[in-house]
Amino acid sequence: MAHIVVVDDASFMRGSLKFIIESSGHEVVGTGKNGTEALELYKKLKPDLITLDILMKGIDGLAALKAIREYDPEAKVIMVTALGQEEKQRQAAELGAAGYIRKPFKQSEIIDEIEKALGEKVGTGDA
Amino acid sequence: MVQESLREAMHEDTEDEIERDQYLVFSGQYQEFGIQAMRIQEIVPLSGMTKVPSAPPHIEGILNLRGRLVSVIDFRKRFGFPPKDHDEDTRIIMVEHHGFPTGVIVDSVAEVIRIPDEKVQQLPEYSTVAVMEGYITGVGMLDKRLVILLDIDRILSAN
Amino acid sequence: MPERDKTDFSQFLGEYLADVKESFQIMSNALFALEKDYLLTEPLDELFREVHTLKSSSSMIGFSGVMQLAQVVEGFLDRLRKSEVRVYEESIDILFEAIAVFEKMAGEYAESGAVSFETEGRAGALRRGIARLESREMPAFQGIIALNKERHIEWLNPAAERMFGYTSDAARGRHVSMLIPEPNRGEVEQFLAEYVEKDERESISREVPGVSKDGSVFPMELSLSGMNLPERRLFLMIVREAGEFKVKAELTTAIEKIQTIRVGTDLLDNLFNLVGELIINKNRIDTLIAPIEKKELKSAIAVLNRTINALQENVSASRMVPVDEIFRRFPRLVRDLAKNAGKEVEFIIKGGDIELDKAMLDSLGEPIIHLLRNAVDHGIREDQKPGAIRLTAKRAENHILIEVEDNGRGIDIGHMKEIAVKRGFIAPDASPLMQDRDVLNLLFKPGFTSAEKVTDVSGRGVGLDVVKTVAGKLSGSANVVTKKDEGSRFTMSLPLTTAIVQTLLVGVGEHIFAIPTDIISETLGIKREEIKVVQDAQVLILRDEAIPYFELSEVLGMNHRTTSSESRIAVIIARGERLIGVGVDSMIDQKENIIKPLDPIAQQFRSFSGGTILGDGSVALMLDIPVLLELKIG
Repeated sequence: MAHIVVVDDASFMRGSLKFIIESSGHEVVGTGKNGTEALELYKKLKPDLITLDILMKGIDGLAALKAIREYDPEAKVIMVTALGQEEKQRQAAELGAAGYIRKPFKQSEIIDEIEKALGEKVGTGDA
Repeated sequence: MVQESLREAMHEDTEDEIERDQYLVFSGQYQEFGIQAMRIQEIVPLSGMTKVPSAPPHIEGILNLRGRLVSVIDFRKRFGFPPKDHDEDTRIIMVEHHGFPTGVIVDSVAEVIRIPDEKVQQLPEYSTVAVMEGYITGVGMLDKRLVILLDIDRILSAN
Repeated sequence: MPERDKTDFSQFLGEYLADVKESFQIMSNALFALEKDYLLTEPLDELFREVHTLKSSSSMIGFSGVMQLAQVVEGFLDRLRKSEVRVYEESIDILFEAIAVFEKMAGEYAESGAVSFETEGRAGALRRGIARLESREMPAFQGIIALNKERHIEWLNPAAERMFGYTSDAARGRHVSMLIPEPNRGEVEQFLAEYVEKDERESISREVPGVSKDGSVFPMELSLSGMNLPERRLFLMIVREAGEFKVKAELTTAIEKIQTIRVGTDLLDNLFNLVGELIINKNRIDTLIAPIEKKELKSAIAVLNRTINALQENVSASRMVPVDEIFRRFPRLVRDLAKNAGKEVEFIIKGGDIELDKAMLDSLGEPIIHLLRNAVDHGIREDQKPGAIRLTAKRAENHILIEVEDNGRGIDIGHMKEIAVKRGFIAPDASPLMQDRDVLNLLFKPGFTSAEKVTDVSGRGVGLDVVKTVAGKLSGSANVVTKKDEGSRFTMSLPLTTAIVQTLLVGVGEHIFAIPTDIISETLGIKREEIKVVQDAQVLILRDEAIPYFELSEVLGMNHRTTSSESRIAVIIARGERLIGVGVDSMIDQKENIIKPLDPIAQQFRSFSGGTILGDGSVALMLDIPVLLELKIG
């Protein structure tokens, strides 16, 4: 069971994502609604994985991804994107995103993506 | 670092909105053609040119435009229209091409008009339009006229 | 949502409603801000983000009506924020209405699980409103219908398909009158028929009603034009919704215009050319006053000369721009190239602040692109993670060096030799004797390039001839050094200043050409009989030595014929250790000339490296002797 932080500016998205993640046996240890909170939560909770919405008010997902990866180069970050955001998705790849979850959510896709990201390197994190 | 320069590069594309929809209209072979007016530097009467040995036939020669060397092409020859003697209406349109002026000899110059975007039509890919395919950016539809808008860079680049 | 996973998101209805409520507030505020200033982009970004989220969450919770409308509004907002569509008063009204409809729909879904008939109607009106605004602004959203002479439909473009509800295939071959509603059909058909019969050149337009497949009638502006195709005449009917929109943005677009005026460079070009003109006129005056022995006049001219020189220097300096002006476009290019090639490349730029003459810099873009492409495609190996490509500008004495360097596989010179022999660039027995540098120089040969493409063996050198050509036109040079498995470095070396060159003017027939004197060892008058033919080649006996000889007219492929009795001028060109004689009709003058660059079109004629303006204002082309001799004797 991994510790996961979910960051999205819409509470509906946070709720849905938390629900899906927890129903697959992982624990959502914190949720945030913007990029600033994302970095704070990451530093404080040291999760095994964090999900970031790409489009957010203020500090957006890309900026938060960059900051988190600078803080911890091993950080596993999954970006939440939608169709039509291929350019941002590509930028996220360059910044070292571990995977993508597409909106609207599909449970199986989310679980696959999380397991894939978690499985990539064994022995990191404290879960 | 690459990321930053990329972002910068992407924010670059905002210039050149000035009078984008103004076109210089000239005639050739009973049709009207248009070139974006912002690309036209000036219009000059025909004058003496230096012939370039072994250049393709549509290259008329090289002209001294106030100290700059300018290649001049003949619009009719470029498109294989039948030749027509130069007369008092014949003009050289100086077009900006890759930062240099380039001359285009045309039968006559009509006027500069505004063809707003909503009156410009892209031509769909259609086999029989292929004659000047690639050189036409669209067709300007005015009240009683049809102006064929040209991609001047492609016309000047291809040989 | 049967195709989705079974996850039931309806348990989050509370969160959904709270989100949308907050979102509607943000959107209203953004619209108020936009209404005050049509130029602001933040409100549009904000609206886009909110609608985007609304689209996703509505789709998940199953409110398909909201989702579909959000999709249309999102597209519209995207076009607004990209300035593809202008912001009109109507646009803002439509967006306010969109918020209201979203709110209504979400409430109805939450209450009854369905949208009322009335709200559905409002959503439909909203969609049409957006379509109208878009069709008015964007050529891509206007309908085009191609008709043949009998007014049968040949095709519809996608916009016309949307407007009328027929696919192009379904409409093909049917009569155009099916797009006109019944009471007007006859009248419009007559109008079309008259136009087609008259074979008019001018297009006509008028406002007529149109009818879509589902029977709805709308006003449209119709323009009709004939187009002459080689075999026949085709008629294009262009339609867009006719509706007047208020442009409240006049003032703001005026401001936009002022902000986007291009200042500086055109003016600088003019100045530069005026200075050139000044120098030419000064030369003319020099010639005119040469016979006049008047001290005051000479000293006044000397002062004038100094002023003109200072002016030229200043104007030249003001045309200097940092190479970064073009360098900064390349990271993206390299990234795309690398991605296409499936390689990983770290791209490093150095010396972006080095300055070059603007005109010079403009012409460097293409060769640099070729070098970068070459480095990505052929330098960097697939297994390098990542490989490095370095683009550097630096100053070296009175030259600027532009370098493209990679740490990839390097060039296999042995392999290049094989190809060169195979393609007939070098004789098989000459191959072992050839120096590496000479082999590498083959990369810059246009023929070698295509040979590579044909055989596709190593693929090295695609389009690299342009590198040498451009460097040459700018009075510079190009070279390459390479080491197997360590990489290659291509260097273009360019002069710092626009060249003033000592030239010899020669006449051939009616033409006058300039030859830079630094490659001329001497000139001499000769008689036709001094030229001998040895093994099909012409030679000139110069101090008991036979040197190759060509008529310039012949090298340039001119029709000019010389008669055997004619006396010739032989311009002796020193090329390394070798001397070569070039025959011309006459020698006209020898003087310092400003060498002007050729424009991109004239640059394609490889025989010339520039031109100079003569005292009478006519142009003399400067011969690119190395290229000419290479063409002739290799």
